Amino acid sequence: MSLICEKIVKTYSGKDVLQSVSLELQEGKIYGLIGRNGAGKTTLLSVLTAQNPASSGSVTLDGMPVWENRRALEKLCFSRELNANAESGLAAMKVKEYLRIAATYYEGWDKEMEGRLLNLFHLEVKKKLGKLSKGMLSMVTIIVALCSKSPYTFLDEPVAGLDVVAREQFYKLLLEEYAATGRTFVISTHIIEEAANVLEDVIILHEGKILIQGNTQAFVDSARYVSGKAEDVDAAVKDLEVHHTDIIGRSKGVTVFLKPGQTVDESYDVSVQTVNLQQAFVALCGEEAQQ
Amino acid sequence: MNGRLTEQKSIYLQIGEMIETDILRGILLEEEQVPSTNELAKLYTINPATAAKGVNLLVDEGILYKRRGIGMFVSKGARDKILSKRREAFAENHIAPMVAEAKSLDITKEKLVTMIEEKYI
Amino acid sequence: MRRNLRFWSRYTWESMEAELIAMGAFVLISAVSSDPLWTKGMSGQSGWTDYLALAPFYLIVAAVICIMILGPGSQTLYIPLLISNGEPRKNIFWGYQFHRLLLVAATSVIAGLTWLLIPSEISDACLSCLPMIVTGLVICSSAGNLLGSAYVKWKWFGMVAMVLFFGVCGGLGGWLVSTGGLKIPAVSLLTLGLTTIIPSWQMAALAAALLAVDLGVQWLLLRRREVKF
Repeated sequence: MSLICEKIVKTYSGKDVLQSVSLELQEGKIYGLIGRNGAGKTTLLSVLTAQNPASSGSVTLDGMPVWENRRALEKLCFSRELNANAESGLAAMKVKEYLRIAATYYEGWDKEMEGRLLNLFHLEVKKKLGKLSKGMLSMVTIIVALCSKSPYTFLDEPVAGLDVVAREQFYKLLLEEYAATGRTFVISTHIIEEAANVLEDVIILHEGKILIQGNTQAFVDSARYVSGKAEDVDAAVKDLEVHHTDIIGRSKGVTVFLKPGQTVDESYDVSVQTVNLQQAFVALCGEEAQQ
Repeated sequence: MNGRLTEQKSIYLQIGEMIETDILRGILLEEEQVPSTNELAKLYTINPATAAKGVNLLVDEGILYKRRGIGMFVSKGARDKILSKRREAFAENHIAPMVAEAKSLDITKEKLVTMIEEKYI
Repeated sequence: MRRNLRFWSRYTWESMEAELIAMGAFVLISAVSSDPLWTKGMSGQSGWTDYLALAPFYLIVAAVICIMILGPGSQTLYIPLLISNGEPRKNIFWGYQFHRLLLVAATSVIAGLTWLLIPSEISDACLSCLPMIVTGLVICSSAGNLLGSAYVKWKWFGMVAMVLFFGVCGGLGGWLVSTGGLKIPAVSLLTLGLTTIIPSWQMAALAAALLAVDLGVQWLLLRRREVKF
């Protein structure tokens, strides 16, 4: 059973927020969806879960279209980033009510886990959403996602506003739940390096297009940081895909992404280092990459 | 099993190495069960698939073996296997870089040997 | 669908609770502001029954207010919330109509039964205009939804419309209170006046037309609605 989207285009006011996005999400993996602000992550997650209609393209689960399809929709859970400012109607709703509505709609809702997590996060259920801090709103998002027990669960910025200890708690809870149930999780996040070890596969969305999708480790292993004297570096990385050039005086540093079979030509006097996911991401999607 | 993960090497390789080191240090004895992939994943906050990859690598090398329905165990003779594996890798991982570094500093072979003799107490 | 209906039933129940509380408030206000003369009422008899017979009327007024507030509230908050919980839109659509039907029916039945059980001239008068009242409630429900839909689509227009509407209501309410309107004579005058002036078939036609437009607008809005919190 895979969730597949094909050639999804989403246009808002004449601008293509998503440009022909195609993805296959296999079951039983933890996926990371990373991208800069405005790359289209939330839009993509909304379209995948049929909460917003695509301008064109299709989303299917196990072959059946997801749009308006109860049988498909009950296998999906999209726990949105909550924005309960004074303008949105949500501000006056109590945590209790928000969770109760979620519990009504997710058949497998785990009441015991809900109680346990509320305790763990010290969340007062009688509090109104508008009165919660960003971190507490994230905790509500996390509770909905985990307790829904949905086969495909999508979390949009689940750690926004959480301090480092709470973030660590989240990753551990996620892994515990994943180990126990094998549910598929798709997590969009800005805090890349911390989450890198938890994500089996990574999807990099940049300006509405998918740049990378595949095994996180394989992607990171394909990247190298090459530095040294400018001419040596240029020679060593000839014919390779180069991103993110740093130049200080005569020295130069570049990030390269190797295709299968390619290597850096180390006959030149250059240092070749590995990079981590965050560095690879910044190299691919940072400003300087637009050369 | 108490180490920190670094960024330098793939996580699954590090997991494998940590298990090996524990075997060498006698923290894990032959025929003893090693922590499950889920336990490893939880301990290091990594994806279970990554932990499994590291463990499977050791299974392929014969250092661990699997008992269906129970888990992973340290093979008989694992300690010796690990020692010989690391000895073989020693030349590549430690000697070669040392020689390269020595050459870039214009240290002659003879001087290098002397330095080694001085340090090998 | 079962889960969906469960949600909307509970939503209706909570709305009824709000209605009943509002009704209680009105009854209290009118009791506090009354003078012994009012009980003489229309027939000149003193009657607790007359007093009780007025309660359903307050319920209707409370219902109108609740319905007008719930319309925009449902459109702007609850409907997108249900979409975000993975419910198909057509289920939400029918669930919502179920809720409206239930609310109008429950209000009408409670009012009707009360009048049926309490012997009073007022009861008889009100019972005879029960169909009109129901039609009136349907019109309010559709109007409330249209206001809500307008607010969703064109925020500024909706806001203006709502301010105007509630302003008018507030003004009317204030006028009623200041002229002792919560007392029987003026109130019953108003009711009877309305029922005699507007022919019932015209009102029914208006209700049907408004309902059709409302349903159409609701579905057009819902079928490609985006969830934005």
